[in-house]
Amino acid sequence: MPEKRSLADNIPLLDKGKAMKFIIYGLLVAILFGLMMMISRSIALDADEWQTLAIFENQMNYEHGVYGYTDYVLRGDQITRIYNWMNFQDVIFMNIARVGINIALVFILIGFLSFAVAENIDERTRRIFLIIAGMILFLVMFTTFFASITVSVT
Amino acid sequence: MEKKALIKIILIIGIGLIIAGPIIGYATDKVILVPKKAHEIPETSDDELRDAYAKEFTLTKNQKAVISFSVFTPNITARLKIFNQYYYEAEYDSNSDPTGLSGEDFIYSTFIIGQSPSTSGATSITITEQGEVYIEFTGARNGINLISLPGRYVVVVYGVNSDPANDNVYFNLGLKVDGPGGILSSIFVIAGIIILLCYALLLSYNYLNKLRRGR
Repeated sequence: MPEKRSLADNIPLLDKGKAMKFIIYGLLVAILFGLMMMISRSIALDADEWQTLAIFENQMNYEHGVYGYTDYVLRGDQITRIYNWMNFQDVIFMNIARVGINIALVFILIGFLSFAVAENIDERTRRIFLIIAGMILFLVMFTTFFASITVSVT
Repeated sequence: MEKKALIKIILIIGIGLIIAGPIIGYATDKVILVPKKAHEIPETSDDELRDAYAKEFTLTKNQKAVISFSVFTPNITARLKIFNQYYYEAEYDSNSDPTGLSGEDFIYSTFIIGQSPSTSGATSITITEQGEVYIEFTGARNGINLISLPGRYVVVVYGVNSDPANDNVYFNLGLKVDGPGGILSSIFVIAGIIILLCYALLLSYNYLNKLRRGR
Protein backbone atom coordinates (compact mmCIF):
# COMPACT_ATOMS: atom_id res chain seq x y z
CA MET A 1 0.00 0.00 0.00
CA PRO A 2 1.58 3.33 -1.04
CA GLU A 3 2.42 5.58 1.87
CA LYS A 4 -0.04 8.49 2.31
CA ARG A 5 1.76 11.81 2.13
CA SER A 6 0.25 14.98 3.55
CA LEU A 7 0.61 18.39 1.92
CA ALA A 8 3.45 19.25 4.32
CA ASP A 9 5.40 16.16 3.20
CA ASN A 10 4.83 17.01 -0.44
CA ILE A 11 6.07 20.60 -0.23
CA PRO A 12 9.79 19.99 -0.97
CA LEU A 13 8.85 17.64 -3.81
CA LEU A 14 6.31 19.78 -5.68
CA ASP A 15 6.66 19.39 -9.41
CA LYS A 16 7.01 22.43 -11.68
CA GLY A 17 3.30 22.52 -12.49
CA LYS A 18 2.18 22.51 -8.87
CA ALA A 19 4.87 24.99 -7.86
CA MET A 20 3.75 27.36 -10.61
CA LYS A 21 0.13 26.95 -9.44
CA PHE A 22 1.18 27.86 -5.89
CA ILE A 23 2.90 31.00 -7.20
CA ILE A 24 -0.04 32.04 -9.39
CA TYR A 25 -2.70 31.36 -6.74
CA GLY A 26 -0.59 33.14 -4.18
CA LEU A 27 -0.27 36.17 -6.47
CA LEU A 28 -4.01 36.22 -7.16
CA VAL A 29 -4.89 36.04 -3.48
CA ALA A 30 -2.34 38.74 -2.65
CA ILE A 31 -3.75 41.01 -5.36
CA LEU A 32 -7.33 40.44 -4.17
CA PHE A 33 -6.51 41.18 -0.54
CA GLY A 34 -4.43 44.16 -1.60
CA LEU A 35 -7.38 45.49 -3.59
CA MET A 36 -9.64 45.01 -0.59
CA MET A 37 -7.22 46.95 1.58
CA MET A 38 -6.93 49.83 -0.91
CA ILE A 39 -10.71 50.08 -1.32
CA SER A 40 -11.14 50.11 2.43
CA ARG A 41 -8.46 52.82 2.76
CA SER A 42 -10.13 54.88 0.04
CA ILE A 43 -13.50 54.69 1.85
CA ALA A 44 -11.89 55.86 5.08
CA LEU A 45 -10.07 58.75 3.39
CA ASP A 46 -13.19 59.95 1.56
CA ALA A 47 -15.53 59.63 4.55
CA ASP A 48 -15.36 63.42 5.09
CA GLU A 49 -16.71 64.16 1.61
CA TRP A 50 -19.53 61.66 2.09
CA GLN A 51 -20.47 63.20 5.43
CA THR A 52 -20.59 66.70 3.94
CA LEU A 53 -22.85 65.47 1.13
CA ALA A 54 -25.11 63.49 3.48
CA ILE A 55 -25.55 66.44 5.86
CA PHE A 56 -26.44 68.71 2.92
CA GLU A 57 -28.96 66.18 1.58
CA ASN A 58 -30.48 65.84 5.04
CA GLN A 59 -30.93 69.61 5.23
CA MET A 60 -32.46 69.74 1.74
CA ASN A 61 -34.89 66.92 2.51
CA TYR A 62 -36.03 68.74 5.65
CA GLU A 63 -36.49 72.02 3.74
CA HIS A 64 -38.57 70.25 1.08
CA GLY A 65 -40.82 68.69 3.69
CA VAL A 66 -39.76 65.09 3.07
CA TYR A 67 -39.63 64.61 6.85
CA GLY A 68 -39.87 66.67 10.01
CA TYR A 69 -37.54 67.87 12.74
CA THR A 70 -37.32 64.62 14.74
CA ASP A 71 -36.42 62.57 11.66
CA TYR A 72 -33.93 65.29 10.64
CA VAL A 73 -32.17 64.95 14.01
CA LEU A 74 -32.27 61.12 13.85
CA ARG A 75 -30.81 61.08 10.36
CA GLY A 76 -28.10 63.46 11.50
CA ASP A 77 -27.16 60.94 14.20
CA GLN A 78 -27.20 58.11 11.62
CA ILE A 79 -24.87 60.11 9.35
CA THR A 80 -22.42 60.61 12.23
CA ARG A 81 -22.55 56.90 13.10
CA ILE A 82 -21.95 55.79 9.50
CA TYR A 83 -19.11 58.32 9.19
CA ASN A 84 -17.39 56.85 12.27
CA TRP A 85 -17.84 53.31 10.93
CA MET A 86 -16.38 54.35 7.57
CA ASN A 87 -13.27 55.50 9.42
CA PHE A 88 -13.07 52.44 11.67
CA GLN A 89 -13.68 49.76 9.01
CA ASP A 90 -10.21 50.53 7.65
CA VAL A 91 -8.68 48.98 10.79
CA ILE A 92 -10.73 45.78 10.42
CA PHE A 93 -10.16 45.22 6.71
CA MET A 94 -6.49 46.23 6.86
CA ASN A 95 -5.81 43.55 9.45
CA ILE A 96 -7.77 40.94 7.48
CA ALA A 97 -5.81 41.91 4.37
CA ARG A 98 -2.57 41.68 6.31
CA VAL A 99 -3.35 38.06 7.26
CA GLY A 100 -4.47 37.18 3.73
CA ILE A 101 -1.46 38.75 2.04
CA ASN A 102 0.95 36.99 4.40
CA ILE A 103 -0.72 33.64 3.68
CA ALA A 104 -0.51 34.38 -0.05
CA LEU A 105 3.18 35.27 0.29
CA VAL A 106 3.78 31.95 2.05
CA PHE A 107 2.22 30.13 -0.93
CA ILE A 108 4.43 32.10 -3.31
CA LEU A 109 7.45 31.33 -1.12
CA ILE A 110 6.67 27.59 -1.22
CA GLY A 111 6.38 27.77 -5.01
CA PHE A 112 9.76 29.46 -5.41
CA LEU A 113 11.38 27.14 -2.88
CA SER A 114 10.10 24.14 -4.85
CA PHE A 115 11.68 25.58 -7.99
CA ALA A 116 14.91 26.19 -6.03
CA VAL A 117 15.22 22.52 -4.98
CA ALA A 118 14.04 21.01 -8.26
CA GLU A 119 16.74 18.80 -9.74
CA ASN A 120 15.88 19.25 -13.41
CA ILE A 121 16.67 22.99 -13.44
CA ASP A 122 20.15 24.42 -14.01
CA GLU A 123 22.21 25.62 -11.01
CA ARG A 124 22.12 29.33 -11.89
CA THR A 125 18.32 29.43 -12.27
CA ARG A 126 17.86 27.54 -9.01
CA ARG A 127 20.08 30.09 -7.25
CA ILE A 128 17.92 32.95 -8.60
CA PHE A 129 14.75 31.22 -7.37
CA LEU A 130 16.35 30.74 -3.97
CA ILE A 131 17.26 34.44 -3.76
CA ILE A 132 13.69 35.39 -4.70
CA ALA A 133 12.34 32.98 -2.06
CA GLY A 134 14.66 34.53 0.50
CA MET A 135 13.46 38.03 -0.37
CA ILE A 136 9.82 36.96 -0.01
CA LEU A 137 10.64 35.32 3.33
CA PHE A 138 12.30 38.53 4.48
CA LEU A 139 9.23 40.52 3.41
CA VAL A 140 6.89 38.15 5.26
CA MET A 141 8.97 38.30 8.44
CA PHE A 142 9.30 42.08 8.27
CA THR A 143 5.59 42.75 7.68
CA THR A 144 4.66 40.27 10.39
CA PHE A 145 6.75 41.93 13.09
CA PHE A 146 6.62 45.59 12.05
CA ALA A 147 3.50 47.75 11.54
CA SER A 148 4.89 49.92 8.77
CA ILE A 149 8.11 50.83 7.07
CA THR A 150 9.13 54.48 7.06
CA VAL A 151 12.19 56.20 5.69
CA SER A 152 13.21 59.61 7.00
CA VAL A 153 15.93 61.78 5.57
CA THR A 154 17.44 64.52 7.68
CA MET B 1 -24.57 18.75 -11.02
CA GLU B 2 -27.65 19.19 -8.82
CA LYS B 3 -25.42 20.06 -5.86
CA LYS B 4 -23.64 22.75 -7.92
CA ALA B 5 -26.98 24.20 -9.03
CA LEU B 6 -28.17 24.23 -5.41
CA ILE B 7 -25.00 26.05 -4.29
CA LYS B 8 -25.50 28.65 -7.04
CA ILE B 9 -29.12 29.14 -5.99
CA ILE B 10 -28.02 29.65 -2.39
CA LEU B 11 -25.48 32.26 -3.55
CA ILE B 12 -28.11 34.11 -5.61
CA ILE B 13 -30.56 34.05 -2.68
CA GLY B 14 -27.90 35.45 -0.33
CA ILE B 15 -26.99 38.30 -2.69
CA GLY B 16 -30.67 38.92 -3.45
CA LEU B 17 -31.51 39.27 0.25
CA ILE B 18 -28.68 41.77 0.79
CA ILE B 19 -29.84 43.87 -2.18
CA ALA B 20 -33.53 43.60 -1.30
CA GLY B 21 -33.03 44.51 2.39
CA PRO B 22 -32.52 48.28 2.02
CA ILE B 23 -35.17 48.50 -0.73
CA ILE B 24 -37.80 46.75 1.38
CA GLY B 25 -36.73 48.79 4.39
CA TYR B 26 -37.24 52.03 2.47
CA ALA B 27 -40.59 50.91 1.05
CA THR B 28 -41.98 49.90 4.46
CA ASP B 29 -40.37 52.68 6.51
CA LYS B 30 -43.71 54.45 6.85
CA VAL B 31 -47.22 52.98 6.60
CA ILE B 32 -49.60 55.39 4.87
CA LEU B 33 -52.94 55.50 6.68
CA VAL B 34 -54.27 58.51 4.79
CA PRO B 35 -52.61 59.44 1.49
CA LYS B 36 -52.04 63.17 1.25
CA LYS B 37 -55.08 64.57 -0.52
CA ALA B 38 -57.74 67.26 -0.33
CA HIS B 39 -60.62 66.97 2.12
CA GLU B 40 -63.81 68.94 2.52
CA ILE B 41 -65.87 69.49 5.64
CA PRO B 42 -68.79 71.80 6.36
CA GLU B 43 -68.32 75.09 8.21
CA THR B 44 -70.51 73.77 11.04
CA SER B 45 -67.52 71.64 12.07
CA ASP B 46 -66.25 74.70 13.96
CA ASP B 47 -69.17 74.30 16.44
CA GLU B 48 -70.08 70.62 16.20
CA LEU B 49 -67.59 67.82 16.63
CA ARG B 50 -69.72 65.42 14.59
CA ASP B 51 -69.18 67.53 11.43
CA ALA B 52 -65.41 67.71 11.88
CA TYR B 53 -63.00 65.50 9.94
CA ALA B 54 -61.77 62.60 12.10
CA LYS B 55 -59.33 59.79 11.47
CA GLU B 56 -58.45 57.15 14.07
CA PHE B 57 -55.03 55.58 14.41
CA THR B 58 -53.20 53.40 16.91
CA LEU B 59 -49.67 53.89 18.17
CA THR B 60 -47.51 51.18 19.68
CA LYS B 61 -44.40 51.68 21.81
CA ASN B 62 -41.89 54.03 20.14
CA GLN B 63 -44.10 54.39 17.09
CA LYS B 64 -44.58 57.87 15.67
CA ALA B 65 -47.43 59.35 13.65
CA VAL B 66 -46.58 61.93 11.01
CA ILE B 67 -49.30 64.29 9.79
CA SER B 68 -48.83 66.71 6.92
CA PHE B 69 -51.50 69.40 7.19
CA SER B 70 -51.91 72.22 4.73
CA VAL B 71 -54.37 74.78 3.43
CA PHE B 72 -54.06 76.32 -0.03
CA THR B 73 -57.48 77.91 -0.44
CA PRO B 74 -58.23 81.56 0.33
CA ASN B 75 -60.69 82.50 3.07
CA ILE B 76 -60.13 79.22 4.91
CA THR B 77 -59.10 78.91 8.56
CA ALA B 78 -58.51 75.27 9.50
CA ARG B 79 -57.55 73.89 12.90
CA LEU B 80 -56.10 70.52 13.80
CA LYS B 81 -56.12 68.74 17.16
CA ILE B 82 -55.28 65.21 18.24
CA PHE B 83 -57.43 63.55 20.90
CA ASN B 84 -57.25 60.36 22.89
CA GLN B 85 -59.91 58.07 21.37
CA TYR B 86 -61.89 57.57 24.57
CA TYR B 87 -61.98 61.32 25.18
CA TYR B 88 -63.04 61.90 21.57
CA GLU B 89 -65.84 59.32 21.76
CA ALA B 90 -67.22 60.85 24.92
CA GLU B 91 -67.20 64.35 23.39
CA TYR B 92 -68.60 63.01 20.11
CA ASP B 93 -71.61 61.60 21.94
CA SER B 94 -72.39 65.06 23.31
CA ASN B 95 -71.45 66.75 19.99
CA SER B 96 -69.18 69.22 21.79
CA ASP B 97 -67.65 72.37 20.33
CA PRO B 98 -64.15 71.26 19.22
CA THR B 99 -62.76 74.74 19.92
CA GLY B 100 -63.09 74.19 23.68
CA LEU B 101 -61.61 70.67 23.77
CA SER B 102 -58.06 69.94 24.95
CA GLY B 103 -55.84 68.20 22.44
CA GLU B 104 -52.76 66.03 23.01
CA ASP B 105 -49.23 67.41 22.79
CA PHE B 106 -47.34 67.23 19.51
CA ILE B 107 -44.47 69.01 17.75
CA TYR B 108 -44.69 70.67 14.36
CA SER B 109 -42.28 72.10 11.79
CA THR B 110 -42.71 74.57 8.99
CA PHE B 111 -40.32 74.40 6.06
CA ILE B 112 -38.56 77.52 4.92
CA ILE B 113 -35.74 77.19 2.39
CA GLY B 114 -32.46 78.35 3.89
CA GLN B 115 -33.68 78.46 7.47
CA SER B 116 -32.13 76.16 10.06
CA PRO B 117 -34.34 73.23 11.05
CA SER B 118 -36.46 73.96 14.10
CA THR B 119 -39.62 72.72 15.73
CA SER B 120 -42.22 73.90 18.21
CA GLY B 121 -44.61 72.19 20.59
CA ALA B 122 -48.37 72.72 20.67
CA THR B 123 -51.71 71.09 21.42
CA SER B 124 -53.43 72.54 18.35
CA ILE B 125 -52.39 74.17 15.10
CA THR B 126 -54.25 76.75 13.02
CA ILE B 127 -53.61 77.58 9.38
CA THR B 128 -55.25 80.63 7.84
CA GLU B 129 -55.48 81.22 4.07
CA GLN B 130 -52.47 79.10 3.21
CA GLY B 131 -49.57 77.24 4.79
CA GLU B 132 -48.24 73.80 5.50
CA VAL B 133 -47.06 72.14 8.70
CA TYR B 134 -45.46 68.79 9.39
CA ILE B 135 -46.70 67.31 12.67
CA GLU B 136 -44.98 64.55 14.65
CA PHE B 137 -46.88 62.81 17.42
CA THR B 138 -46.04 59.91 19.74
CA GLY B 139 -48.57 60.47 22.52
CA ALA B 140 -46.85 63.10 24.66
CA ARG B 141 -43.93 65.52 24.67
CA ASN B 142 -41.52 67.30 26.97
CA GLY B 143 -40.57 70.58 25.34
CA ILE B 144 -39.64 69.54 21.81
CA ASN B 145 -38.73 66.00 22.83
CA LEU B 146 -41.33 63.36 21.96
CA ILE B 147 -42.39 60.83 24.58
CA SER B 148 -43.91 57.55 23.46
CA LEU B 149 -47.37 56.92 24.91
CA PRO B 150 -48.98 53.98 23.10
CA GLY B 151 -52.70 54.14 22.59
CA ARG B 152 -55.55 54.93 20.26
CA TYR B 153 -55.87 58.47 19.02
CA VAL B 154 -57.99 60.52 16.67
CA VAL B 155 -56.83 63.42 14.53
CA VAL B 156 -59.57 65.99 14.12
CA VAL B 157 -59.76 68.93 11.70
CA TYR B 158 -62.39 71.66 11.80
CA GLY B 159 -62.58 75.22 10.52
CA VAL B 160 -64.41 78.14 8.98
CA ASN B 161 -64.74 79.69 5.54
CA SER B 162 -64.97 83.49 5.60
CA ASP B 163 -66.42 83.55 2.07
CA PRO B 164 -70.19 84.06 2.58
CA ALA B 165 -70.89 82.25 -0.69
CA ASN B 166 -69.14 79.09 0.37
CA ASP B 167 -69.88 76.99 3.45
CA ASN B 168 -67.14 74.42 3.00
CA VAL B 169 -63.71 74.18 4.49
CA TYR B 170 -60.98 72.72 2.25
CA PHE B 171 -57.68 71.36 3.53
CA ASN B 172 -55.04 68.76 2.66
CA LEU B 173 -54.09 66.06 5.10
CA GLY B 174 -51.85 63.03 5.01
CA LEU B 175 -51.28 60.58 7.85
CA LYS B 176 -48.43 58.08 8.17
CA VAL B 177 -47.14 55.95 11.03
CA ASP B 178 -43.76 54.29 11.46
CA GLY B 179 -43.60 50.92 9.74
CA PRO B 180 -41.42 47.85 10.20
CA GLY B 181 -38.91 49.09 7.60
CA GLY B 182 -35.89 49.29 9.89
CA ILE B 183 -36.33 45.81 11.37
CA LEU B 184 -37.15 44.20 8.02
CA SER B 185 -34.11 45.75 6.37
CA SER B 186 -31.81 44.48 9.14
CA ILE B 187 -33.33 40.97 9.02
CA PHE B 188 -32.92 40.69 5.25
CA VAL B 189 -29.34 41.97 5.24
CA ILE B 190 -28.26 39.78 8.18
CA ALA B 191 -29.90 36.71 6.61
CA GLY B 192 -28.11 37.42 3.32
CA ILE B 193 -24.75 37.81 5.06
CA ILE B 194 -25.23 34.56 7.00
CA ILE B 195 -26.10 32.69 3.78
CA LEU B 196 -23.02 34.09 2.02
CA LEU B 197 -20.83 33.15 4.99
CA CYS B 198 -22.22 29.59 4.92
CA TYR B 199 -21.56 29.48 1.16
CA ALA B 200 -17.94 30.61 1.69
CA LEU B 201 -17.45 28.07 4.50
CA LEU B 202 -18.92 25.29 2.35
CA LEU B 203 -16.61 26.16 -0.55
CA SER B 204 -13.58 26.26 1.76
CA TYR B 205 -14.55 22.92 3.31
CA ASN B 206 -14.94 21.27 -0.12
CA TYR B 207 -11.60 22.69 -1.29
CA LEU B 208 -9.73 21.53 1.82
CA ASN B 209 -11.33 18.09 1.47
CA LYS B 210 -10.07 17.86 -2.11
CA LEU B 211 -6.57 18.92 -1.01
CA ARG B 212 -6.58 16.30 1.74
CA ARG B 213 -7.67 13.51 -0.60
CA GLY B 214 -5.23 14.72 -3.26
CA ARG B 215 -6.35 15.82 -6.75
